[in-house]
Amino acid sequence: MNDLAIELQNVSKKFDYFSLDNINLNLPTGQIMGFVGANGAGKSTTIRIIMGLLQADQGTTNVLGHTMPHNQVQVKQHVGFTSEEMKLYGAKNLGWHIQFIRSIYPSWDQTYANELLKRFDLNLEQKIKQFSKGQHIKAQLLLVLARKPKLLVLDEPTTGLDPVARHEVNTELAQILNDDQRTVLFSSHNTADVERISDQIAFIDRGRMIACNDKEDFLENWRRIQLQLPSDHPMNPLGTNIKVEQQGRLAAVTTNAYSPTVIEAYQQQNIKVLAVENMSLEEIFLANVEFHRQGVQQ
Amino acid sequence: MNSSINVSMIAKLIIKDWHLFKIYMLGYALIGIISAVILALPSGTAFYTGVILLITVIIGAGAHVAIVSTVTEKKEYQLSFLMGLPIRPIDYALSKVIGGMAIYMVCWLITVGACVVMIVTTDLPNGLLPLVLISALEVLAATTILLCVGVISGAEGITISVMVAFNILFNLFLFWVSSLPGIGPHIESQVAVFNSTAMGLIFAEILVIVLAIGLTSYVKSRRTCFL
Repeated sequence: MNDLAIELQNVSKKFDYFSLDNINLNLPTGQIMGFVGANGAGKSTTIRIIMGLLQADQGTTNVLGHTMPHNQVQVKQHVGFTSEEMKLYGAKNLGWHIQFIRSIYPSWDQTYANELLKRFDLNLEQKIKQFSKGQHIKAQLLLVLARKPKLLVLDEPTTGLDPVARHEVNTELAQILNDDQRTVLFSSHNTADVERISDQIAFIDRGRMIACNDKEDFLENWRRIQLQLPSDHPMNPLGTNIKVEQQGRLAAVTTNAYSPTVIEAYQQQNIKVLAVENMSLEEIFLANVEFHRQGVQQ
Repeated sequence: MNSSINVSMIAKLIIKDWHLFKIYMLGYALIGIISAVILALPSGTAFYTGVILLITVIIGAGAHVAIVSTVTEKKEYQLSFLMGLPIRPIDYALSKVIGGMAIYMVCWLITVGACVVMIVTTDLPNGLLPLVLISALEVLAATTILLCVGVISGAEGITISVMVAFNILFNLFLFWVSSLPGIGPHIESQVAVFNSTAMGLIFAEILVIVLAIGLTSYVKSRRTCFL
């Protein structure tokens, strides 16, 4: 049995003004992966290739052990997919949509659907066009979750929501995803959303995958070290550094390979370590993007 | 690669579309029945009013189904919702073309049937029947092509342009058919004359419908992905 729910190898797709370049992505079964990138970074294009909606120019895409897009019907039987742009039929109510989806998926769990209805505070009889955007997204989540998919693919589900609705959806999503073992790919440009629910994080920028790791590893390995130098000569950084900012005798070093030995090494060079700061996922993402863009330009 | 057509899903998509359109189609059919009754009233004004209403109803209903079920569904991102379901582009295309026709034909059959009944059971000349059937089939063929254009292009501008072109062509078609030696002289006769001209036109219209569906199926069967 293949223990990778999603496996992308050297996937490329070229458009007139954008290209997805040599994407490699592995999502093990049972993991929740946050897929982070700025608007237009290539998240939705990658997800469309994963879902078999778009044909890659090069590379291979396997989902739940099947080659995509050729086996999209078998795969989509076991995948729950929602995207920011997806819309339900405004003239019909949620009950009608449930009947439609239920007729397609034998795995539909009505007890669970009823539980989600209560949890999301949704009304079966209310027409979709009368739903707020938050309710609309919750309705979509209900329709994919109650079919008990092996894999959930959520493309920017919270984009465009006001802070209150986003918090509500994220809270519900975090609780639901904790309920049992699921494999989830969750894309967002909002790192706070991703940080909350993900086991693994992948960063994409300008069509290139720039980093992919366990969330804990990102948070453990990335630090900003505030230093006081013995003189105002440009410092000679130690270890793996992503960014060095120096003003006179003060310097801030961002590293993606932090360990206590780095501190010891600085101290041995008569450099005073003023602070070792943890970095938020957003800071890590931004530093990563900046570092890779500089690399591409050079 | 599993290339077989997913009949079960096509049926479910058609039923879904029927739920979305049934009120409109039954409403159009009701107007069609009323138009057929007006057509048979003993007055020249009523006859022409009935004709205009009948033409408006069957063309309008066809355009409604074709544009809303294909272009509007894409424009309002409900297609994105459907693309996540276990279907391929060919399943979607067949559900739209065959389903769209089936849904439209509920209104078409009731309206044309009411018209035929009024012609046969009132003082209207039975000689109108071939012209009525040929004209109604032209609208059915135009609706089929419009559905196919909507499915293949997905573009609002193209589909609406084709619809406008067909509306203009319908009037020319009506004048042309009425002027044919095999049709025109028999319109006011008491007996419906289904001669070789009438049957030839009916056959040609059915052939256009079959070809449009076949071509759309072929084009869509060559596409693996929706986007």
